[in-house]
Amino acid sequence: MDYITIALAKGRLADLSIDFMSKIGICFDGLNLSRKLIFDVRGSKTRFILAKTSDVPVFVEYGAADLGIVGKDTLLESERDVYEMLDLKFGACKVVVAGPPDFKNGLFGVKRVATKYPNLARDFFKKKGMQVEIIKLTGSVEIAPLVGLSDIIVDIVETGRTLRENGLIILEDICDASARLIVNRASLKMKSERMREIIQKCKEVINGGI
Amino acid sequence: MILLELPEGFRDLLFDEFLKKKYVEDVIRRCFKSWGYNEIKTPLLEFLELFLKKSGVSENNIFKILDKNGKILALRYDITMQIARIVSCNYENLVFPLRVFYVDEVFRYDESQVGKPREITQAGVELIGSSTVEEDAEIIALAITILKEMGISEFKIEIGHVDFLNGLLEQHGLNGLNEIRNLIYRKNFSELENYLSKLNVDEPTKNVFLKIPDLYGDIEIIDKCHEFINNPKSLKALERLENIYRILEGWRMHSFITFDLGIIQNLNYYTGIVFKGLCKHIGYYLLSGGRYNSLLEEFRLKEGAVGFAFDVDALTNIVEINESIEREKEKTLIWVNKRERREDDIFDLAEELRRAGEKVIIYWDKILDKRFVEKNKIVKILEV
Repeated sequence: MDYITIALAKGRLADLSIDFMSKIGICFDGLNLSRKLIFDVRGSKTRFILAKTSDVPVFVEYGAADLGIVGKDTLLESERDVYEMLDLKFGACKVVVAGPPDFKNGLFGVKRVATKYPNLARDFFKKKGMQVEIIKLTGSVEIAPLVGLSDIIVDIVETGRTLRENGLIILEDICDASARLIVNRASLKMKSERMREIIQKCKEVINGGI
Repeated sequence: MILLELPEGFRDLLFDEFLKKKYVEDVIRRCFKSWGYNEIKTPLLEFLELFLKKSGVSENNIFKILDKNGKILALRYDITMQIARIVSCNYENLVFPLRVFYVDEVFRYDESQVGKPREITQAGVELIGSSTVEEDAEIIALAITILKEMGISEFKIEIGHVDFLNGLLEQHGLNGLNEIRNLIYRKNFSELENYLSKLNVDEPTKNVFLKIPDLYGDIEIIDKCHEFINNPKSLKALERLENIYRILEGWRMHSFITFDLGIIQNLNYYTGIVFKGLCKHIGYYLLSGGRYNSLLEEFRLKEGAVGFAFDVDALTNIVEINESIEREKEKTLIWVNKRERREDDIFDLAEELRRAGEKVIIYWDKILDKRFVEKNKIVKILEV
Protein backbone atom coordinates (compact mmCIF):
# COMPACT_ATOMS: atom_id res chain seq x y z
CA MET A 1 0.00 0.00 0.00
CA ASP A 2 1.30 3.45 -0.89
CA TYR A 3 2.04 6.02 1.77
CA ILE A 4 -0.03 9.13 1.31
CA THR A 5 0.20 12.64 2.68
CA ILE A 6 -2.84 14.85 3.12
CA ALA A 7 -2.50 18.61 3.53
CA LEU A 8 -5.12 20.36 5.64
CA ALA A 9 -5.61 24.09 5.99
CA LYS A 10 -5.28 25.76 9.35
CA GLY A 11 -8.01 28.16 10.29
CA ARG A 12 -11.68 28.10 9.44
CA LEU A 13 -11.64 24.74 7.65
CA ALA A 14 -9.33 22.83 10.00
CA ASP A 15 -11.89 21.27 12.36
CA LEU A 16 -14.39 20.63 9.59
CA SER A 17 -11.70 18.91 7.51
CA ILE A 18 -10.70 16.70 10.42
CA ASP A 19 -14.35 15.76 10.96
CA PHE A 20 -14.73 14.95 7.31
CA MET A 21 -11.62 12.80 7.28
CA SER A 22 -12.86 10.81 10.27
CA LYS A 23 -16.07 10.13 8.35
CA ILE A 24 -14.10 8.46 5.58
CA GLY A 25 -12.29 6.41 8.17
CA ILE A 26 -9.06 8.33 8.61
CA CYS A 27 -9.07 9.42 12.22
CA PHE A 28 -6.35 10.94 14.25
CA ASP A 29 -6.35 12.63 17.60
CA GLY A 30 -4.12 14.98 19.44
CA LEU A 31 -4.12 17.53 16.65
CA ASN A 32 -5.23 20.40 18.82
CA LEU A 33 -3.27 19.28 21.82
CA SER A 34 0.17 19.82 20.43
CA ARG A 35 1.95 22.27 18.25
CA LYS A 36 3.14 19.60 15.88
CA LEU A 37 2.36 20.17 12.23
CA ILE A 38 2.86 16.62 10.97
CA PHE A 39 0.86 13.63 12.22
CA ASP A 40 1.03 9.99 11.33
CA VAL A 41 -2.16 8.01 11.50
CA ARG A 42 -1.24 4.80 13.18
CA GLY A 43 -1.40 1.68 11.07
CA SER A 44 -2.86 3.26 7.97
CA LYS A 45 0.15 4.61 6.08
CA THR A 46 -1.35 8.07 6.11
CA ARG A 47 0.18 11.31 7.20
CA PHE A 48 -1.41 14.69 7.73
CA ILE A 49 0.30 17.99 7.44
CA LEU A 50 -1.19 21.19 8.73
CA ALA A 51 -0.34 24.15 6.53
CA LYS A 52 -1.31 27.75 6.13
CA THR A 53 -4.43 27.87 3.96
CA SER A 54 -2.82 29.58 1.01
CA ASP A 55 0.05 27.07 1.04
CA VAL A 56 -2.11 23.93 0.77
CA PRO A 57 -2.38 24.10 -3.05
CA VAL A 58 1.39 24.65 -3.22
CA PHE A 59 2.14 21.51 -1.19
CA VAL A 60 -0.18 19.55 -3.45
CA GLU A 61 1.04 20.98 -6.75
CA TYR A 62 4.65 20.12 -5.96
CA GLY A 63 3.75 16.65 -4.74
CA ALA A 64 4.83 17.29 -1.13
CA ALA A 65 1.26 16.28 -0.33
CA ASP A 66 -0.84 13.90 -2.44
CA LEU A 67 -4.17 15.35 -1.42
CA GLY A 68 -5.37 18.54 0.15
CA ILE A 69 -8.52 20.13 1.47
CA VAL A 70 -8.82 23.82 0.82
CA GLY A 71 -11.46 26.47 0.13
CA LYS A 72 -12.41 27.37 -3.41
CA ASP A 73 -11.52 30.98 -2.58
CA THR A 74 -7.91 29.97 -2.01
CA LEU A 75 -7.83 27.96 -5.24
CA LEU A 76 -9.12 30.87 -7.27
CA GLU A 77 -6.54 33.11 -5.72
CA SER A 78 -3.55 30.83 -6.19
CA GLU A 79 -4.31 29.24 -9.60
CA ARG A 80 -2.18 26.19 -8.96
CA ASP A 81 -1.96 23.27 -11.38
CA VAL A 82 -3.78 20.56 -9.41
CA TYR A 83 -6.78 18.32 -9.95
CA GLU A 84 -9.77 19.87 -8.26
CA MET A 85 -11.76 16.70 -7.93
CA LEU A 86 -14.55 17.15 -5.44
CA ASP A 87 -16.71 19.81 -3.91
CA LEU A 88 -16.82 18.56 -0.33
CA LYS A 89 -19.79 20.85 0.36
CA PHE A 90 -18.70 21.86 3.84
CA GLY A 91 -17.32 25.21 4.94
CA ALA A 92 -19.65 26.91 2.51
CA CYS A 93 -19.18 30.64 2.16
CA LYS A 94 -19.26 33.32 -0.49
CA VAL A 95 -16.63 35.59 -1.90
CA VAL A 96 -18.26 39.01 -2.10
CA VAL A 97 -17.70 42.66 -2.73
CA ALA A 98 -18.68 44.49 0.44
CA GLY A 99 -18.60 48.08 1.55
CA PRO A 100 -20.48 50.89 3.25
CA PRO A 101 -24.13 51.34 2.18
CA ASP A 102 -23.17 54.43 0.13
CA PHE A 103 -22.24 52.07 -2.67
CA LYS A 104 -25.46 50.07 -2.64
CA ASN A 105 -26.58 51.56 -5.95
CA GLY A 106 -23.43 50.68 -7.83
CA LEU A 107 -19.69 50.63 -7.63
CA PHE A 108 -19.21 54.01 -9.32
CA GLY A 109 -16.39 56.01 -7.92
CA VAL A 110 -14.64 53.08 -6.29
CA LYS A 111 -10.92 53.71 -6.36
CA ARG A 112 -9.40 51.39 -3.81
CA VAL A 113 -10.21 47.82 -2.84
CA ALA A 114 -8.73 46.04 0.16
CA THR A 115 -8.60 42.25 0.08
CA LYS A 116 -6.86 39.05 1.04
CA TYR A 117 -7.44 37.91 -2.55
CA PRO A 118 -5.61 40.36 -4.84
CA ASN A 119 -5.58 38.09 -7.93
CA LEU A 120 -9.21 37.13 -7.61
CA ALA A 121 -10.19 40.78 -7.05
CA ARG A 122 -8.08 42.01 -9.97
CA ASP A 123 -9.72 39.48 -12.31
CA PHE A 124 -13.18 40.41 -11.14
CA PHE A 125 -12.74 44.16 -11.65
CA LYS A 126 -10.86 43.65 -14.90
CA LYS A 127 -13.83 41.74 -16.30
CA LYS A 128 -16.07 44.60 -15.23
CA GLY A 129 -13.75 47.02 -17.02
CA MET A 130 -13.13 48.90 -13.78
CA GLN A 131 -9.75 50.37 -12.98
CA VAL A 132 -9.14 50.03 -9.26
CA GLU A 133 -6.17 49.96 -6.98
CA ILE A 134 -5.95 46.67 -5.10
CA ILE A 135 -4.50 46.75 -1.59
CA LYS A 136 -3.45 43.40 -0.24
CA LEU A 137 -4.14 42.81 3.45
CA THR A 138 -3.66 39.56 5.34
CA GLY A 139 -6.45 39.89 7.91
CA SER A 140 -9.15 42.13 9.41
CA VAL A 141 -10.02 43.36 5.96
CA GLU A 142 -13.36 44.75 7.22
CA ILE A 143 -11.72 47.67 8.97
CA ALA A 144 -10.16 49.03 5.77
CA PRO A 145 -13.22 51.07 4.66
CA LEU A 146 -13.84 52.24 8.23
CA VAL A 147 -10.46 53.92 8.52
CA GLY A 148 -10.34 55.20 4.97
CA LEU A 149 -7.74 52.75 3.69
CA SER A 150 -10.08 51.59 0.93
CA ASP A 151 -13.55 52.31 -0.44
CA ILE A 152 -14.71 48.71 -0.48
CA ILE A 153 -13.40 45.20 0.20
CA VAL A 154 -13.42 41.78 -1.42
CA ASP A 155 -13.65 39.07 1.20
CA ILE A 156 -15.35 35.83 2.17
CA VAL A 157 -18.57 35.83 4.15
CA GLU A 158 -20.07 32.93 6.05
CA THR A 159 -22.84 34.39 8.21
CA GLY A 160 -22.33 38.05 7.42
CA ARG A 161 -22.06 38.91 11.09
CA THR A 162 -18.60 40.47 10.92
CA LEU A 163 -19.72 42.65 8.05
CA ARG A 164 -22.84 43.79 9.89
CA GLU A 165 -20.97 44.57 13.07
CA ASN A 166 -18.62 46.77 11.10
CA GLY A 167 -21.41 48.57 9.28
CA LEU A 168 -20.73 46.99 5.90
CA ILE A 169 -23.17 45.39 3.47
CA ILE A 170 -22.77 42.92 0.62
CA LEU A 171 -22.70 44.82 -2.66
CA GLU A 172 -22.15 41.98 -5.08
CA ASP A 173 -21.49 38.22 -5.02
CA ILE A 174 -18.39 37.03 -6.82
CA CYS A 175 -18.61 33.27 -6.32
CA ASP A 176 -19.46 30.49 -3.91
CA ALA A 177 -16.57 28.92 -2.08
CA SER A 178 -16.86 25.65 -0.22
CA ALA A 179 -14.10 23.18 0.66
CA ARG A 180 -12.56 21.27 -2.25
CA LEU A 181 -10.57 18.07 -2.44
CA ILE A 182 -7.48 18.74 -4.53
CA VAL A 183 -5.16 16.04 -5.82
CA ASN A 184 -1.61 16.06 -7.13
CA ARG A 185 -1.42 15.22 -10.84
CA ALA A 186 1.17 12.48 -10.50
CA SER A 187 -0.22 10.96 -7.31
CA LEU A 188 -3.64 10.37 -8.85
CA LYS A 189 -2.03 8.11 -11.45
CA MET A 190 0.96 6.72 -9.57
CA LYS A 191 -0.91 5.84 -6.38
CA SER A 192 -4.17 5.25 -8.18
CA GLU A 193 -5.50 2.44 -6.00
CA ARG A 194 -5.42 4.35 -2.74
CA MET A 195 -6.48 7.55 -4.43
CA ARG A 196 -9.53 5.96 -5.99
CA GLU A 197 -10.46 4.44 -2.67
CA ILE A 198 -10.25 7.77 -0.83
CA ILE A 199 -12.07 9.69 -3.56
CA GLN A 200 -14.80 7.06 -3.63
CA LYS A 201 -15.27 7.27 0.13
CA CYS A 202 -15.41 11.05 -0.05
CA LYS A 203 -18.12 10.82 -2.71
CA GLU A 204 -20.13 8.48 -0.51
CA VAL A 205 -19.92 10.86 2.43
CA ILE A 206 -20.92 13.86 0.30
CA ASN A 207 -23.83 12.10 -1.36
CA GLY A 208 -24.92 10.27 1.76
CA GLY A 209 -24.74 13.40 3.85
CA ILE A 210 -23.36 11.32 6.73
CA MET B 1 25.02 49.30 -6.23
CA ILE B 2 26.59 45.89 -6.64
CA LEU B 3 24.31 43.70 -8.74
CA LEU B 4 24.04 40.31 -7.13
CA GLU B 5 20.47 39.56 -8.02
CA LEU B 6 19.26 37.41 -10.90
CA PRO B 7 16.02 37.97 -12.78
CA GLU B 8 13.21 35.84 -11.40
CA GLY B 9 13.16 32.32 -12.76
CA PHE B 10 16.79 32.21 -13.82
CA ARG B 11 19.61 30.53 -11.95
CA ASP B 12 23.26 29.57 -11.99
CA LEU B 13 24.21 25.93 -12.23
CA LEU B 14 27.51 25.19 -10.54
CA PHE B 15 29.82 22.21 -10.54
CA ASP B 16 28.04 19.12 -9.16
CA GLU B 17 24.60 20.25 -10.18
CA PHE B 18 25.78 21.02 -13.68
CA LEU B 19 27.68 17.75 -13.90
CA LYS B 20 24.50 15.88 -13.05
CA LYS B 21 22.54 17.77 -15.67
CA LYS B 22 25.22 17.05 -18.27
CA TYR B 23 25.04 13.38 -17.35
CA VAL B 24 21.28 13.37 -17.94
CA GLU B 25 21.74 15.15 -21.26
CA ASP B 26 24.46 12.71 -22.30
CA VAL B 27 22.27 9.66 -21.60
CA ILE B 28 19.44 11.21 -23.62
CA ARG B 29 21.77 12.19 -26.49
CA ARG B 30 23.27 8.72 -26.62
CA CYS B 31 19.87 7.06 -26.76
CA PHE B 32 18.45 9.48 -29.36
CA LYS B 33 21.50 8.86 -31.54
CA SER B 34 21.31 5.11 -31.18
CA TRP B 35 17.74 5.26 -32.52
CA GLY B 36 19.03 7.06 -35.59
CA TYR B 37 18.06 10.64 -34.74
CA ASN B 38 20.29 13.52 -35.82
CA GLU B 39 20.92 16.56 -33.64
CA ILE B 40 20.08 20.04 -34.79
CA LYS B 41 20.46 23.49 -33.25
CA THR B 42 17.85 26.19 -33.63
CA PRO B 43 18.41 29.94 -33.17
CA LEU B 44 17.70 31.65 -29.87
CA LEU B 45 15.63 34.36 -31.52
CA GLU B 46 12.76 34.13 -33.98
CA PHE B 47 10.05 36.45 -35.17
CA LEU B 48 7.28 36.54 -32.62
CA GLU B 49 4.67 35.42 -35.17
CA LEU B 50 6.22 31.97 -35.45
CA PHE B 51 5.32 31.05 -31.88
CA LEU B 52 1.82 32.45 -32.10
CA LYS B 53 0.92 30.36 -35.11
CA LYS B 54 -1.42 27.48 -34.27
CA SER B 55 -0.04 27.19 -30.76
CA GLY B 56 -2.66 28.95 -28.69
CA VAL B 57 0.20 30.47 -26.71
CA SER B 58 -0.58 33.79 -25.12
CA GLU B 59 1.78 36.53 -26.20
CA ASN B 60 2.21 37.37 -22.54
CA ASN B 61 4.10 34.15 -21.93
CA ILE B 62 6.74 34.85 -24.55
CA PHE B 63 9.93 36.84 -23.91
CA LYS B 64 10.09 39.61 -26.47
CA ILE B 65 12.88 41.81 -27.75
CA LEU B 66 12.62 44.77 -30.11
CA ASP B 67 14.84 44.52 -33.18
CA LYS B 68 16.61 47.63 -34.58
CA ASN B 69 14.04 47.98 -37.34
CA GLY B 70 11.16 47.84 -34.89
CA LYS B 71 10.20 44.21 -35.54
CA ILE B 72 9.33 42.14 -32.49
CA LEU B 73 11.58 39.17 -31.86
CA ALA B 74 10.88 36.34 -29.45
CA LEU B 75 13.17 34.19 -27.37
CA ARG B 76 12.92 30.52 -28.31
CA TYR B 77 9.59 29.45 -26.82
CA ASP B 78 8.99 26.06 -28.41
CA ILE B 79 11.48 24.12 -30.48
CA THR B 80 8.92 21.97 -32.28
CA MET B 81 7.53 25.11 -33.92
CA GLN B 82 11.04 26.10 -35.00
CA ILE B 83 11.59 22.66 -36.48
CA ALA B 84 8.32 22.96 -38.39
CA ARG B 85 9.71 26.17 -39.91
CA ILE B 86 13.07 24.56 -40.66
CA VAL B 87 11.48 21.55 -42.33
CA SER B 88 9.36 23.78 -44.49
CA CYS B 89 12.37 25.97 -45.50
CA ASN B 90 14.44 22.97 -46.46
CA TYR B 91 11.70 20.73 -47.73
CA GLU B 92 13.27 19.97 -51.12
CA ASN B 93 16.56 18.87 -49.59
CA LEU B 94 15.15 16.64 -46.88
CA VAL B 95 14.26 12.97 -47.05
CA PHE B 96 11.34 11.62 -45.04
CA PRO B 97 10.70 10.12 -42.58
CA LEU B 98 13.05 12.61 -40.95
CA ARG B 99 14.42 11.99 -37.49
CA VAL B 100 15.79 15.00 -35.62
CA PHE B 101 16.56 15.79 -31.99
CA TYR B 102 17.61 18.79 -29.93
CA VAL B 103 18.83 19.61 -26.45
CA ASP B 104 18.32 23.27 -25.73
CA GLU B 105 16.73 25.95 -23.58
CA VAL B 106 13.28 27.40 -24.06
CA PHE B 107 12.11 30.57 -22.34
CA ARG B 108 8.65 30.82 -20.91
CA TYR B 109 7.17 33.57 -18.87
CA ASP B 110 4.40 32.23 -16.71
CA GLU B 111 2.68 35.01 -14.81
CA SER B 112 0.77 32.97 -12.33
CA GLN B 113 3.67 30.84 -11.20
CA VAL B 114 5.94 33.15 -9.30
CA GLY B 115 9.49 31.89 -8.95
CA LYS B 116 9.09 29.02 -11.37
CA PRO B 117 11.98 28.52 -13.77
CA ARG B 118 11.61 30.61 -16.89
CA GLU B 119 14.58 29.03 -18.60
CA ILE B 120 13.78 25.39 -19.21
CA THR B 121 16.07 22.84 -20.81
CA GLN B 122 14.29 20.49 -23.15
CA ALA B 123 15.64 17.42 -24.88
CA GLY B 124 13.28 16.27 -27.58
CA VAL B 125 12.81 14.27 -30.77
CA GLU B 126 10.63 14.77 -33.80
CA LEU B 127 9.74 12.05 -36.27
CA ILE B 128 8.49 13.92 -39.31
CA GLY B 129 6.83 12.33 -42.31
CA SER B 130 5.22 9.66 -40.21
CA SER B 131 1.59 8.80 -39.74
CA THR B 132 1.41 5.17 -38.68
CA VAL B 133 0.34 3.78 -35.35
CA GLU B 134 3.64 1.89 -35.18
CA GLU B 135 5.49 5.19 -35.24
CA ASP B 136 3.30 6.50 -32.41
CA ALA B 137 4.24 3.42 -30.40
CA GLU B 138 7.90 3.71 -31.33
CA ILE B 139 8.19 7.27 -30.06
CA ILE B 140 6.62 6.26 -26.74
CA ALA B 141 8.95 3.27 -26.56
CA LEU B 142 11.89 5.63 -27.01
CA ALA B 143 10.77 7.72 -24.03
CA ILE B 144 10.38 4.60 -21.89
CA THR B 145 13.78 3.26 -22.94
CA ILE B 146 15.52 6.46 -21.87
CA LEU B 147 13.77 6.69 -18.50
CA LYS B 148 14.77 3.09 -17.81
CA GLU B 149 18.31 3.75 -18.97
CA MET B 150 18.48 6.57 -16.45
CA GLY B 151 17.58 4.24 -13.62
CA ILE B 152 14.17 5.76 -12.97
CA SER B 153 11.87 2.90 -12.06
CA GLU B 154 8.59 4.25 -10.78
CA PHE B 155 7.30 6.12 -13.77
CA LYS B 156 4.30 5.97 -16.09
CA ILE B 157 3.53 7.37 -19.49
CA GLU B 158 -0.06 8.56 -19.61
CA ILE B 159 -1.59 8.61 -23.04
CA GLY B 160 -4.67 10.29 -24.41
CA HIS B 161 -5.96 11.39 -27.79
CA VAL B 162 -7.20 14.88 -28.65
CA ASP B 163 -9.89 13.52 -30.99
CA PHE B 164 -11.59 11.68 -28.16
CA LEU B 165 -12.79 14.94 -26.63
CA ASN B 166 -13.02 16.76 -29.97
CA GLY B 167 -15.38 14.08 -31.24
CA LEU B 168 -17.63 14.44 -28.22
CA LEU B 169 -17.65 18.22 -28.33
CA GLU B 170 -18.52 18.22 -32.03
CA GLN B 171 -21.18 15.57 -31.63
CA HIS B 172 -22.97 17.70 -29.06
CA GLY B 173 -22.33 21.04 -30.72
CA LEU B 174 -20.10 22.25 -27.93
CA ASN B 175 -16.81 22.71 -29.77
CA GLY B 176 -15.06 25.97 -29.23
CA LEU B 177 -15.91 25.97 -25.55
CA ASN B 178 -12.48 26.11 -23.97
CA GLU B 179 -13.93 26.26 -20.49
CA ILE B 180 -15.11 22.63 -20.85
CA ARG B 181 -11.58 21.56 -21.79
CA ASN B 182 -10.17 23.52 -18.91
CA LEU B 183 -12.54 21.95 -16.37
CA ILE B 184 -11.86 18.46 -17.73
CA TYR B 185 -8.12 19.13 -17.49
CA ARG B 186 -8.56 20.03 -13.82
CA LYS B 187 -10.90 17.05 -13.31
CA ASN B 188 -13.23 19.55 -11.75
CA PHE B 189 -16.41 17.48 -11.66
CA SER B 190 -18.53 19.84 -9.63
CA GLU B 191 -17.88 22.93 -11.68
CA LEU B 192 -18.15 21.01 -14.93
CA GLU B 193 -21.63 20.00 -13.84
CA ASN B 194 -22.55 23.60 -13.01
CA TYR B 195 -21.13 24.84 -16.27
CA LEU B 196 -23.01 22.28 -18.39
CA SER B 197 -26.23 23.03 -16.52
CA LYS B 198 -25.82 26.70 -17.32
CA LEU B 199 -25.46 25.81 -21.01
CA ASN B 200 -28.78 23.93 -20.85
CA VAL B 201 -27.13 20.74 -22.00
CA ASP B 202 -29.56 17.82 -21.75
CA GLU B 203 -29.14 15.29 -18.97
CA PRO B 204 -27.75 12.32 -20.99
CA THR B 205 -25.12 14.52 -22.67
CA LYS B 206 -24.19 16.02 -19.34
CA ASN B 207 -23.65 12.56 -17.92
CA VAL B 208 -21.33 11.66 -20.79
CA PHE B 209 -19.16 14.71 -20.16
CA LEU B 210 -19.15 14.16 -16.42
CA LYS B 211 -17.63 10.74 -17.01
CA ILE B 212 -14.58 12.11 -18.85
CA PRO B 213 -12.54 13.36 -15.88
CA ASP B 214 -12.84 9.86 -14.44
CA LEU B 215 -11.58 8.13 -17.58
CA TYR B 216 -8.06 7.36 -16.47
CA GLY B 217 -6.35 4.10 -15.62
CA ASP B 218 -5.37 0.87 -17.32
CA ILE B 219 -6.38 -0.47 -20.74
CA GLU B 220 -9.79 -1.47 -19.29
CA ILE B 221 -10.71 2.19 -19.43
CA ILE B 222 -10.87 1.93 -23.23
CA ASP B 223 -13.47 -0.84 -22.98
CA LYS B 224 -15.41 1.25 -20.51
CA CYS B 225 -15.54 4.06 -23.09
CA HIS B 226 -17.05 1.79 -25.70
CA GLU B 227 -20.14 1.50 -23.49
CA PHE B 228 -21.20 5.08 -24.07
CA ILE B 229 -19.18 6.55 -26.96
CA ASN B 230 -20.84 6.38 -30.37
CA ASN B 231 -19.38 9.14 -32.53
CA PRO B 232 -16.91 8.01 -35.22
CA LYS B 233 -14.18 10.49 -34.32
CA SER B 234 -13.94 9.46 -30.68
CA LEU B 235 -14.21 5.79 -31.60
CA LYS B 236 -11.33 6.13 -34.03
CA ALA B 237 -9.26 7.77 -31.30
CA LEU B 238 -10.00 4.88 -28.94
CA GLU B 239 -9.04 2.37 -31.61
CA ARG B 240 -5.73 4.15 -32.15
CA LEU B 241 -4.96 4.09 -28.42
CA GLU B 242 -5.81 0.43 -28.19
CA ASN B 243 -3.57 -0.39 -31.15
CA ILE B 244 -0.66 1.54 -29.64
CA TYR B 245 -1.14 -0.42 -26.44
CA ARG B 246 -1.15 -3.77 -28.27
CA ILE B 247 2.10 -2.89 -30.02
CA LEU B 248 3.76 -1.77 -26.78
CA GLU B 249 2.51 -4.96 -25.16
CA GLY B 250 4.40 -6.93 -27.81
CA TRP B 251 7.48 -4.90 -26.95
CA ARG B 252 6.96 -5.65 -23.22
CA MET B 253 6.51 -2.01 -22.35
CA HIS B 254 2.81 -1.94 -21.51
CA SER B 255 3.41 -1.95 -17.77
CA PHE B 256 4.58 1.65 -18.06
CA ILE B 257 1.43 2.76 -19.84
CA THR B 258 -1.59 4.37 -18.30
CA PHE B 259 -4.43 6.17 -20.05
CA ASP B 260 -6.09 9.48 -19.37
CA LEU B 261 -8.73 10.52 -21.88
CA GLY B 262 -8.98 13.93 -20.28
CA ILE B 263 -5.39 14.98 -21.07
CA ILE B 264 -5.19 18.44 -22.52
CA GLN B 265 -1.90 19.88 -23.76
CA ASN B 266 -1.00 23.52 -23.27
CA LEU B 267 -0.01 23.82 -26.90
CA ASN B 268 -2.86 23.61 -29.37
CA TYR B 269 -1.09 22.09 -32.34
CA TYR B 270 -1.60 18.45 -31.38
CA THR B 271 -3.89 16.43 -33.62
CA GLY B 272 -3.56 12.83 -32.47
CA ILE B 273 -2.17 11.03 -29.46
CA VAL B 274 -0.83 13.13 -26.62
CA PHE B 275 1.24 11.80 -23.77
CA LYS B 276 3.06 12.84 -20.63
CA GLY B 277 5.56 11.18 -18.31
CA LEU B 278 4.88 10.97 -14.59
CA CYS B 279 6.94 9.82 -11.68
CA LYS B 280 6.09 9.03 -8.08
CA HIS B 281 6.71 11.84 -5.59
CA ILE B 282 7.13 14.41 -8.35
CA GLY B 283 4.32 16.82 -9.05
CA TYR B 284 5.39 17.89 -12.51
CA TYR B 285 5.75 16.08 -15.82
CA LEU B 286 9.03 14.51 -16.90
CA LEU B 287 8.15 14.67 -20.56
CA SER B 288 5.36 15.74 -22.82
CA GLY B 289 4.53 15.16 -26.46
CA GLY B 290 2.20 13.88 -29.12
CA ARG B 291 1.26 13.86 -32.77
CA TYR B 292 0.98 17.20 -34.53
CA ASN B 293 -0.03 16.89 -38.17
CA SER B 294 -1.65 20.30 -38.50
CA LEU B 295 1.39 22.31 -37.43
CA LEU B 296 3.15 21.30 -40.62
CA GLU B 297 0.02 21.98 -42.66
CA GLU B 298 0.35 25.55 -41.43
CA PHE B 299 3.57 25.61 -43.47
CA ARG B 300 1.77 23.99 -46.42
CA LEU B 301 3.40 20.60 -45.81
CA LYS B 302 1.41 17.42 -46.00
CA GLU B 303 3.60 15.46 -43.61
CA GLY B 304 2.46 13.91 -40.36
CA ALA B 305 4.72 14.21 -37.35
CA VAL B 306 5.07 12.92 -33.83
CA GLY B 307 7.51 13.87 -31.09
CA PHE B 308 8.11 14.66 -27.45
CA ALA B 309 10.48 16.53 -25.20
CA PHE B 310 11.96 15.72 -21.81
CA ASP B 311 12.11 18.36 -19.11
CA VAL B 312 15.83 17.92 -18.45
CA ASP B 313 15.74 19.82 -15.15
CA ALA B 314 12.91 17.64 -13.86
CA LEU B 315 14.94 14.53 -14.70
CA THR B 316 18.08 15.99 -13.15
CA ASN B 317 16.21 16.45 -9.89
CA ILE B 318 15.29 12.79 -9.58
CA VAL B 319 18.23 10.96 -11.14
CA GLU B 320 20.59 9.41 -8.61
CA ILE B 321 24.19 10.53 -8.91
CA ASN B 322 26.08 7.47 -10.01
CA GLU B 323 29.67 6.49 -9.46
CA SER B 324 30.94 7.46 -12.86
CA ILE B 325 29.92 11.08 -12.22
CA GLU B 326 31.86 11.05 -8.96
CA ARG B 327 34.93 9.48 -10.54
CA GLU B 328 34.94 12.04 -13.29
CA LYS B 329 35.72 14.75 -10.75
CA GLU B 330 38.89 13.10 -9.38
CA LYS B 331 42.12 15.00 -10.00
CA THR B 332 45.86 14.72 -9.54
CA LEU B 333 47.82 17.52 -7.92
CA ILE B 334 51.44 18.29 -8.67
CA TRP B 335 52.51 20.21 -5.62
CA VAL B 336 55.59 22.32 -6.26
CA ASN B 337 56.75 22.07 -2.70
CA LYS B 338 60.38 21.01 -2.68
CA ARG B 339 61.43 23.06 -5.71
CA GLU B 340 63.79 20.24 -6.76
CA ARG B 341 62.73 20.38 -10.41
CA ARG B 342 62.65 23.15 -12.96
CA GLU B 343 59.40 24.69 -14.19
CA ASP B 344 59.67 23.17 -17.67
CA ASP B 345 60.20 19.74 -16.14
CA ILE B 346 57.12 20.14 -14.00
CA PHE B 347 55.10 21.34 -16.95
CA ASP B 348 56.20 18.32 -19.02
CA LEU B 349 55.28 15.96 -16.18
CA ALA B 350 51.79 17.47 -16.02
CA GLU B 351 51.35 17.17 -19.77
CA GLU B 352 52.43 13.55 -19.67
CA LEU B 353 49.86 12.72 -17.01
CA ARG B 354 47.16 14.64 -18.88
CA ARG B 355 47.90 12.66 -22.03
CA ALA B 356 47.45 9.52 -19.97
CA GLY B 357 43.94 10.70 -19.12
CA GLU B 358 44.43 12.22 -15.67
CA LYS B 359 43.11 15.62 -14.68
CA VAL B 360 46.08 17.54 -13.42
CA ILE B 361 46.45 20.76 -11.47
CA ILE B 362 49.90 22.25 -10.84
CA TYR B 363 49.95 23.95 -7.45
CA TRP B 364 52.71 26.57 -7.27
CA ASP B 365 52.49 27.45 -3.61
CA LYS B 366 54.42 25.89 -0.72
CA ILE B 367 51.40 26.07 1.55
CA LEU B 368 48.70 23.64 0.53
CA ASP B 369 45.23 24.40 1.83
CA LYS B 370 43.31 21.33 3.01
CA ARG B 371 40.05 22.80 1.70
CA PHE B 372 41.56 23.19 -1.74
CA VAL B 373 42.39 19.47 -1.81
CA GLU B 374 38.92 18.52 -0.68
CA LYS B 375 36.98 20.87 -2.90
CA ASN B 376 38.89 19.79 -5.99
CA LYS B 377 38.57 16.10 -5.18
CA ILE B 378 42.32 15.54 -5.33
CA VAL B 379 42.99 11.81 -5.09
CA LYS B 380 46.73 11.82 -5.77
CA ILE B 381 49.40 14.34 -4.74
CA LEU B 382 52.85 14.35 -6.32
CA GLU B 383 55.31 16.51 -4.41
CA VAL B 384 58.07 17.90 -6.59
